[in-house]
Order: sequence, then structure tokens, then C-alpha cells
Amino acid sequence: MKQPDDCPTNTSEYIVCGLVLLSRAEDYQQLLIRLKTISGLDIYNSSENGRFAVTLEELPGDCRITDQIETIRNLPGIVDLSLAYSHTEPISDVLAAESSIEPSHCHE
Amino acid sequence: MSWLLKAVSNRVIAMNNSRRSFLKSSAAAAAASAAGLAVTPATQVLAKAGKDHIDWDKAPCRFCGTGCSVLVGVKEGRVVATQADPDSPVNRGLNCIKGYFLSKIMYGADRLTTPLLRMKNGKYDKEGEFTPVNWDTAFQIMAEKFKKTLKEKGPTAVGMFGSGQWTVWEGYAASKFMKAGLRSNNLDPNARHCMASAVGGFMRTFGIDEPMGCYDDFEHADNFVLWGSNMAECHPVLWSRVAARVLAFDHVRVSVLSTYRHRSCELAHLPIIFEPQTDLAIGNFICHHIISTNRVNKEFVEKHTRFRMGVTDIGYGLADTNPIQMKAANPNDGGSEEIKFEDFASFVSEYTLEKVSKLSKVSKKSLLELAELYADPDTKVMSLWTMGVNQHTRGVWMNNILYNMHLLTGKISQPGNSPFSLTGQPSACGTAREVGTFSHRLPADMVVTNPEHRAKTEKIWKLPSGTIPAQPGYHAVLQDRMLNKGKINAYWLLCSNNVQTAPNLNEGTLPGYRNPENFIIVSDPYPTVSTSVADLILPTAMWVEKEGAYGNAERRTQFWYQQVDPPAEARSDLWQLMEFSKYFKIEEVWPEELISKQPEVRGKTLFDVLYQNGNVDRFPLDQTNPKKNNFESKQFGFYVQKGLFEEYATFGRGKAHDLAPFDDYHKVRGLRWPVVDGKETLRRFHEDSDPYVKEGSEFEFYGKPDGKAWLFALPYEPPPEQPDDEYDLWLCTGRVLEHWHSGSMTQRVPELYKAFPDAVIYMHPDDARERGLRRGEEAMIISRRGEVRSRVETRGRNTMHRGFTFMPFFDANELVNKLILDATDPLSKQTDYKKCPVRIEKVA
Repeated sequence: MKQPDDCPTNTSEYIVCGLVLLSRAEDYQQLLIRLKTISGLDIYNSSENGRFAVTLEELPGDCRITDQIETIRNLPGIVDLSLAYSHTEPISDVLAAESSIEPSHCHE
Repeated sequence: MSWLLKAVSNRVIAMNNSRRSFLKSSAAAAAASAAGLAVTPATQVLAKAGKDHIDWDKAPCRFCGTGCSVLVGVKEGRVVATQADPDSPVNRGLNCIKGYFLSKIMYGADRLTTPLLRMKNGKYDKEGEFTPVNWDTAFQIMAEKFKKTLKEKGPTAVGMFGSGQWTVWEGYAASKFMKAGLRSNNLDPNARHCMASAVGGFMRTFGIDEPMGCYDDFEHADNFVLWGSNMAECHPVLWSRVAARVLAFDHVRVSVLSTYRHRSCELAHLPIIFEPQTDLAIGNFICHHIISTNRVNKEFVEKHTRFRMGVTDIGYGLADTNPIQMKAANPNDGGSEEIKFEDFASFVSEYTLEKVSKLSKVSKKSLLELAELYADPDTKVMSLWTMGVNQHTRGVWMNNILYNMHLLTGKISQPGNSPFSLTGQPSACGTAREVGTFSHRLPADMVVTNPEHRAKTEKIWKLPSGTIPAQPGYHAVLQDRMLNKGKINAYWLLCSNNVQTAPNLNEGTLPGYRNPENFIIVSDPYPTVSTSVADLILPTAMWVEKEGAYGNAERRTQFWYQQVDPPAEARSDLWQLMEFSKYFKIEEVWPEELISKQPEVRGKTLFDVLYQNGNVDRFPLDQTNPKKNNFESKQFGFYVQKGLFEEYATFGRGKAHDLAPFDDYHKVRGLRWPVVDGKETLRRFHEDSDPYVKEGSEFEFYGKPDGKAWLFALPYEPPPEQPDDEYDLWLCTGRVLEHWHSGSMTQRVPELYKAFPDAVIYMHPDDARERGLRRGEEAMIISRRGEVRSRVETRGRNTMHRGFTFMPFFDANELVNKLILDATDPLSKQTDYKKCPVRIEKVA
């Protein structure tokens, strides 16, 4: 019986997740600071009532995203963690697409 | 990190306004929307910019009974992505970690792609090697074995083990094939192991199955009380709804009753760790507290309830010759007698605060605080339970006692007042229960022992009277015992990994599979412990490789289309069941006496009689979705799923199990039955929301003839085994967030495997130290039935108190089911996986 270690590893993939985090309002400020120490995590938006919308990325060579999720889950003040989005694709596709995306589509 | 990876990584990081930005914006927008936070217009534009050639369509998640809807992204015939469905009222744009790796469960490197038969010298041999064969060869040998068994020993010697993961029509097709085609009730689902006690509780108390409430109650309750449920890990999306409510309202409280401290306790205002089995006593104390403090809702109780005294000392569902079972005065007796409220009050008055505190080892303060939640007429309570209550040698009783608490106070069938039985499998409700794939059941809560129910079924199925046998078949554990004894000789296991999960593996299960008299077929997408001991393995299509329907824990029926093709020769269980039926002529399976009642069936195959009966084949192929493949319908020449569903729906319409027309379900994110006049039912038994309740009655428990629910007086009785000098620790088994059930799918997702690669034995550090063990060291866990090795864990998500241990069951290399006693609830026949005495030794 094959084990998952026989499957392709993630080392050549790009992974991004959108996470929803909940905390108590009184823990919001502390958690804001703690979250900024997590590698690959960006806080997209948050609310002082303890809600966070964050993104988490894994690039080749980074910490595994599942480990990062577990690290976030165990941060003091985190009451709940859910995923709202996840995407995985070969890093080569991300690189190849770089030149093919129309600039007019990508204003930020 | 190598210099090359660094270079790649740096390049990606340097990208701006590129694909990475698009993907990241999509992730941010989805998270912010689900969190109720603002999304900037720039992010919205960017997130929409690169919807790149992926076809998205809805499907319910493949895992637990919550029934989250996911959007499945298909590119070039392959599922490449899944997203939480923002339009789903169940999960509202959120998924758990398992849900997010759904796309990967289908693409493990070792998917089975062709039938495999044990062969030696070119023919079947039980000691042979697995050898690829074609489907016709596979069905020929299967048919030969089934026919030989039927001829020599009759229908009771064939059997099938199905699943709460079957689609609705797979379960229905299987039920027709076994109960009518082969005339054997030896069909049971793995749902027997997970919620049969819940069914027993519903049927005894209300006379009709499944929860009266719905998930909307999460947004109305003041108090959530978890009884034997670790929702944070096992129903995480519903737990998110609980957490959101707790954080938004200061008055909302969570209580968690468990035999060990787990992740759900982190949110609990009142965590209660009790001695195993004493939940029965705690429930009775709460009833006593409600009565003794004069907080009974007298008007509700008088109008809508009756009281019963249950038969006691009913044994433990063990073999009749087992010494523990032989001690029981009334083995397997589910009888009861009518009593008065005063008798009930007198019965529960024995469960005093002092007595129950001593028995349960829970402080008086905590018990009182818990009881007050139920007693207080001004607080709305949602009780939630799963395997801790159901996998229990008094599981039906415990379900009854939970309803007692809600019925005494009238806290039922109203927003936020909701006793809610959660389920573990995606269609334990929709398929196993509603379709009736249990050995005693027929569709829509009917049973094989009732002649009227059999007659109705035979009429809808267009079969002669007397086709369906009146005796219940063998339930899950009994099937294993009968395989062991050689009383079942031809056996088909589908959509389940029962050898990894059935109790007492070494003595109760494995010998039957390897009994030379028996021929075992296992259908699965992947090699498992069960396929390893089969004689024939059939490769199975999974999830969105077929058109499907699931029914979740809140009575919500959800559909999906086939979105990709299965690999190579893998075929859905539906195709397997229907195609196999072509290999039987009616004269080979029915006696002449039965055939003569309906001579037109003469010379026909079981396929003709069961599935080409004018009902199932009445919807033409052109009614299938032209944009989607539908392998089964193309193979059989008609819209198979629609025909099976509409025939099945006939059973429930007008009988309080009404399902909507087939096509409606493809357009919506599910509907909660009964669906009457196009409207789903949120809460049953209350006049405000249930069309079956008579006007002016306010409540009506119409599953019972007089519309009154039954409260049962039932005592605490001890478990069959308790720790002693030789086996001095309790062992509880269960799940972890990352893996689902026996891990046959989630273990193949590299991310999930790496997140939790191997099972561990959670112990208290002092218990470990006393045995010379340290965290991470290998230990031998030994019960009266077997032993298993695992590594010690003294930290992390589960915290053990002295004398208690926990081990998950997902790991095929650490078969914890070897340890478990095959004791069941005597009424529901569901196994108790939560209380096993063990000793633990250091591996030298």
C-alpha cells in the first residue's frame, strides 16, 4: 500500500489561503501584533470586535502552510480559524502567467 | 532552502500585479466576505480579473455530516481547486481544512483503476495474488459465488455492508437489490457504527427520525451544551457558528461535557469532565433538578407528552454466550410501560446532587450550573451531541434522556431551543436513515417487520406480495460474527473501510474475511485495510466523478452533477450495483411460488425487474444536463439518478418526509424536508413552521399516534468493562481535525498527511512517567483483545487527566480497533468505541 510520501511533494508549488480568524475583542490588539510575526501571513482587513481576514502563502522552500495554520490556531487569543479560500498550482504556472496577464486587469 | 528555490521564491515575491496578486486578492476577498469585513473595490477588480478557464460548480463536501457546500473548480477534466461556497446557508463561505484539500483526495497516486481478483494458476484462489481482470470477469465470479450461496443456504447467507457516504440513489439501488432482488435483509451501513443510537432515540421518543431543529438555531441559542462532541475538530464549520455567536453576545455561554479535555473546551465557560458512562446519571440529575425546583413547563408536559418506564438490565449487545451478556436479566429488551409524571419524578429523585457528583466525579457547583441552564425558563438551550452519546452501550437511553430534559421544559422545536443530534457522515441521514439501508428498515422510517410497510414497498417497487422478507437482517457487528461462523458466505463491502473500524478486529472481524468458505468483495477508490483482506477488489468512482445527492444532519438534501470522469475503469457504486443485477435471472433468486404471483417477471433479469420497471427508467436521457457527463445514464439509456430519486420520493410525499421534485435540487443549495408546496421546513413539530402540525395545536409530535412525545425513566447502568488492576487505564477513540474516519482519503493528501502523519496515544504526563515513558516514545497499548503500538503524546490539542487516554483511529498502521470490545447498545446495535480498559507498556 502506497503512502503519501510517494506522492509529489509541494516544493514546486505555490499555495495561497484566505483565512477567517475570530478572537475576543479584548485580545484583538495583542493578536494583531502576534499575527504580524507569522511568516507568509498578511492581514487584509480586521475589526476591533475580533475578526480578521488574512492571507497565508507558501512559496517553494517556505514553512508548510498546514504548519503555519496550526501555529496560528495555537496563538493565544485565537478562538476559531476557518478557511475561506485555497489555491494550489505549480510555481512554474505562476511564473508563466506573469507575462501573459493583461496589465489593465490588474490595477490595485 | 537551496539557492535555486531561493531564486524562484525571490522572483515570485518580486512579482507585482501578476498572477500571484490575482490569487492573493481572490483569497483576501473570499476571507473578508466570509468574515463580514469590507473588501476594497481594487481587490474585487483584481480578484475577478483572472477567473482563468476554470469551470466552477457546486457540490456538498465529501466528508462529515455538516453538509458544507463547496465550489468545485475543474480545468481540463481535473478538479484543480475548491472554494467555500459563499451562497451556502450551511457554511456561508467557510470550510474546514479538510474541505480545502478536497480536490486532492481524488488524485492519490494509488487510485484503483481496474478490478483485482485473487488468482493462482489463472483462476480464482483465496490464497492467490491480486490480478487485474475486466469487469465482466469480476461480475461473473461474484455472481457465481452469490448464486452458489443462495442455492445452498438461502438469502440469509449473502450480505452487503454499505455506507452513510453513499449517494441517496446508491443506497436506494442497493436496498432494492438486496431486499427485493436477492430477498435478503442482510444490508447494513457503516452508519450503524455512528448514529444508530440517535435513530433509536428519535424513534422511541418521537416515533419519527431526525432532528426537529436546524442550523438556524445556532443564531438563536443562549446556551450551547455539547454532550460527547468535539465540534471544534469534528464539525469545525458549525463550531465557527457557535464561536461567532459567543463572541458577538456577552450572555451566550458554552458548556462542554466530555470524558477528556479537548479543543472544544477552549471556548467553554463550563467544561465538565465526567467519569465514562455517568452521563446517564447527570442527565437524570438535571431532570430531577428541573422537577424539584418546580421549573417543569406543566402546560407543555400535560398537552404534549407521555411518560414511560423502560425495561432495565438489558445487556451489552454481546454474543449470547458471552459471560457478561449472560448476566443480563432482560437482554436486548427495548420495552417500556406507561407511567405517570409522579412516577417519573420519583424515579429521577434518586439522582441527587450528592450521589451524581460522587459517581460522575463532577463538582456539585458545575452540576448545578449545568442543570440551571436547562431549568431556567428564560434561557434558550441548544444541546449538541455525536459519538460520545451514540457510541455508547446505553446510547439510545442517553438520547432519550437528552430529550427528557428538553421536553420537561418545553425547550424544543423553537428558534434556539433545540436538541440536536449531529452526524458524522455526509449522508448518514440522507442515505442510511431516510432511504433505509439498515437491516431492519425500509424507506421513510418504515421497517421490514411491519406487513403494511412491506406491502407498501412492494407496491411502489411493482413486486409481488411477499418479496421482502419479514425478519430483520444481520446488523453490522452481527454480520462480522456470521462471517466468522461461516453463516454468511458471499459478502460485498462498499464505500466503507470496515476492517479498520469494526470492533475486536482480531477475534470478531478478520477471521470472517479470511474464512475459506467466504467470498469477500470490497469496492473502494483506494487500497485500504479492507481491500487487503478481500478476494475481489472493485475500483470505485468517488464524489464529483458521478452525479450525486447527500442529506445532511439538518434534513437538507443537496445534489451535484458529475464534474469529472473517474480514472480508467473505476465505476460508481451505482453502476456496479445496477450492472451486477443483470447477472441474475429472476428464476435464479426467487422461488417459483413468488414468481407465479407475477408471471410477467419470468425470464427477466433483476435489472429488468428492479430498475427497468417503468418507474426508474421513465426519464429519458435527454433530461440529463447536456453540459455534464452522466456515465451511468449513458450506460443504461435513461436518466438513472432521476428515476431512482423520484421512485424513492414516492415513499415520503404526504408522509411528513416530502422531498421536492428532482430538478429543483440542482438549482438550489439544498432543501430541508419535509418540502411542502415548494417550501422547506426549518423546524418540525411546531405550528409556526411545520405544515404537518394541526392548526391550533401549537406543538404536535405526529410520529406518535396521539401526537405526544415520550419521556423515558431510564437508570444509570455501568459499562461492560471498567479499568482494573490488569487494565488500569480508560481508552477512548475518535477523530482529529485533519483526517476523516479511517483516513483512506485524507491520508492521501500530502498536506494533511504531513500535518498529522501517524496516530498517537494521548496520555497524562504522570501516567506516562510511571510507565517509564516520555513524550514521543513508543508504547504498547494492550487490551483483553489485542495490542497496538503508538507514540506517546502528552501535550497538544487533547489533555488527558490521570487514568484516561485517547487515540485516533485514522491510521492504518496503528489499528486501534484491535483493542475494542464488540459491545453494542443492545437496542441500536451501535458499537461503543469510547470506553475500553487498557494497559500501556514501554516498548523495549
